[in-house]
Amino acid sequence: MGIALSTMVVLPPLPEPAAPELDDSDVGLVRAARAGDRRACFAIWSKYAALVRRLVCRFLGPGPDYADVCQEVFLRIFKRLDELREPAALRGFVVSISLGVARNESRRRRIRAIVGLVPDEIFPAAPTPPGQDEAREAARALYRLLGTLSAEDRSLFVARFIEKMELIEVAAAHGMSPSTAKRRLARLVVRVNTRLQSSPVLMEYVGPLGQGRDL
Amino acid sequence: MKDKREASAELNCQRLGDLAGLAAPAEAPSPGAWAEIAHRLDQRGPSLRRLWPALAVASLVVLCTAGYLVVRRPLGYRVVDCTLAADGVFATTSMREGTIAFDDGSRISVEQDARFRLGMLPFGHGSDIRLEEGDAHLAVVHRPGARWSVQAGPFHIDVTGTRFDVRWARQLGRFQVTMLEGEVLVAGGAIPPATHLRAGQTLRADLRASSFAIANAQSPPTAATRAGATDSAKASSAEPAKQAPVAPRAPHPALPPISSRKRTELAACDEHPAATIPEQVPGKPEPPWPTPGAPTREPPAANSTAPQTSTPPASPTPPLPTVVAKAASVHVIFGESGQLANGFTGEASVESGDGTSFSTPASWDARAHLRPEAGQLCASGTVSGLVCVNENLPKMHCNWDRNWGVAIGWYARADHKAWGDGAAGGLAVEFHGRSASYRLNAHRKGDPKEKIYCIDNYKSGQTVRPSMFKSECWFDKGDTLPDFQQVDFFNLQFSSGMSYVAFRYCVSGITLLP
Repeated sequence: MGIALSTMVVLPPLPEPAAPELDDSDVGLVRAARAGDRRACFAIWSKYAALVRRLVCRFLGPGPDYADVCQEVFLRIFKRLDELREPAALRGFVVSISLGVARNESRRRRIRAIVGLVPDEIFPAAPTPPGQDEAREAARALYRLLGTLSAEDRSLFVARFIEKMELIEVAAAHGMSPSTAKRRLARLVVRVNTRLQSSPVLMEYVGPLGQGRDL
Repeated sequence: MKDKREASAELNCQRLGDLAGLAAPAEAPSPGAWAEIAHRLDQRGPSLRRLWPALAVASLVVLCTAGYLVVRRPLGYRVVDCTLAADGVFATTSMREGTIAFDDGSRISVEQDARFRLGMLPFGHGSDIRLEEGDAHLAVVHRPGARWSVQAGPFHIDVTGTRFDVRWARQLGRFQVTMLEGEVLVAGGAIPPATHLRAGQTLRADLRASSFAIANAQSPPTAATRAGATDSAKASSAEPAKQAPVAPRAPHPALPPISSRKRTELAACDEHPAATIPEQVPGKPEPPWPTPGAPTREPPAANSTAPQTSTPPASPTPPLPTVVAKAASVHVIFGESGQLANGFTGEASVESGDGTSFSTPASWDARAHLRPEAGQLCASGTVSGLVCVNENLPKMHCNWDRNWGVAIGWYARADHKAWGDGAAGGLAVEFHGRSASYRLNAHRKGDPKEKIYCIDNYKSGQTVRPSMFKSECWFDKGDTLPDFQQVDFFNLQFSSGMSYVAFRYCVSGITLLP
């Protein structure tokens, strides 16, 4: 035994197995995230955090930091990642969930406003470019107008006219057929233009029908 | 023009979209945001989506448990004018009666100075009333599946839906049930299991004397008679030392002690006080009216051969049993083995034509020796329709002789001989079952098997005399049965018809009349 101890050598610790390289395509990220690879989750967040934040901000309008809403979006994305049939459609999945969470937040805000917990509109200093007071005022008016739409219509407006999504993307993000999305958008356009008539600020901004001026 | 307007409206929306994009520009996500998300991902438990099977099972278990508890609720009741002791015994005062009103409409009125317990059965099925002492009047509403029972000392009453009075004098060991409506099954003490009591009957049992008597009232007791009986009972309870051997019209006639062997007593109507059948003395002939389970015996030659009693000589001898029996109606007892007693001694059986198939009794042996179910002789099954030729013509003929239906029958005597001198003057058969035309048949000893005397369209409880039996009852003609003495067999027939029919009927009682 003594001999064995004297001859024992201290081996260096085994190197940890190298983590497999992460495939940064949507398909690879989804598969890795489903397998529990936290690096993939981080990669998805890095890739789509800006998109999510933009969608949420543009849906809900200029206001406070929407970090909690964005956080909720990503938690829901990771929770429901197993439901994504086509990993390649990750972007649409993210958009769909972002708009869904934003819709819920919009409804929640409306209920809070009804019961008087928060003011109807929260418009702190709008982050408009300096010297564009007119545009800032128009933006306030626009979100007042959007506030009169249903959450679903507002979501359609954001996707189609703010995010400039194609019709098919809008349909996919809202879980409806393209023809349905087209019909709904057509009705939405009429509705927005009707309400537009009652907003002098916005009328001045867009000008006579079809004659809106450039910013 | 329209297209231009639509395009213009679309353009306006696009401009508004540009405005929104300008007003709410995208910002780079803060680096700390991911740390917060990662933290919450680590904290997140298993999703509800993964847990839903377990949650569904748990919900189902909770629902089933809650439903079971709701359904299992016992019947609700309200107790009025009773006090509840710590040991769970309700008691009424000497000043007023108490009442228990149950949610299903059943009601128990408890006389003064009574003590009782209530055991509620689950699922609202009824109640088990334990009468510790005193008198109670029960009016139980009949409900399918309900089980009501009264326990008084060793005596037990099974109730379906009925009205009756029950009295239990614990110290004297006396028990009495007076039926007002319906029927109950009584057991305990000297009373054989599943003894039927019907409306108008009064059962009196004496635990000390190990005896009981069933009396038939000519008419249902009135409230006045009940009250009188109660008073008499109280008087009797107050003076236990003054028990008379036979006390006419007394609600609790004191019965002379007999041997410890359980004896059944035959009772007369209220006009004829209950009398004890004396213990059989070896060498002496038996009385013509048999005791339960008694073997076959020949009737005595004459009433003068009255047996001696084993009661103490000082005790007055009760009236001769033969006289008592002849003067009163007697309820035939269906023995456990299918052997009848108390008037008939033969065995019960079920017979059928070719077109009958049985559900119960299933076996041939069980049909040859029909045993009572809950004190009743029952049969069920199907009877195929008659096959007829020349239908609607004068020469129409059906296979009646082969497919005649089914019959619950019994021999008058165990040795299958004619009923003899012990024959009753009339009888009434109580039965219930599928609505149909039933036929009561009698067969004379010595006649061909196919020759019967019958009463067509016989109704339950209908009292019949020999002269009402005709050999061609379906035409209301033919020979008339002279008496029952030559009859060796009776049966109650469920006849076959023109179409296939399911049957179930039970003979619940046979009463013999002098």
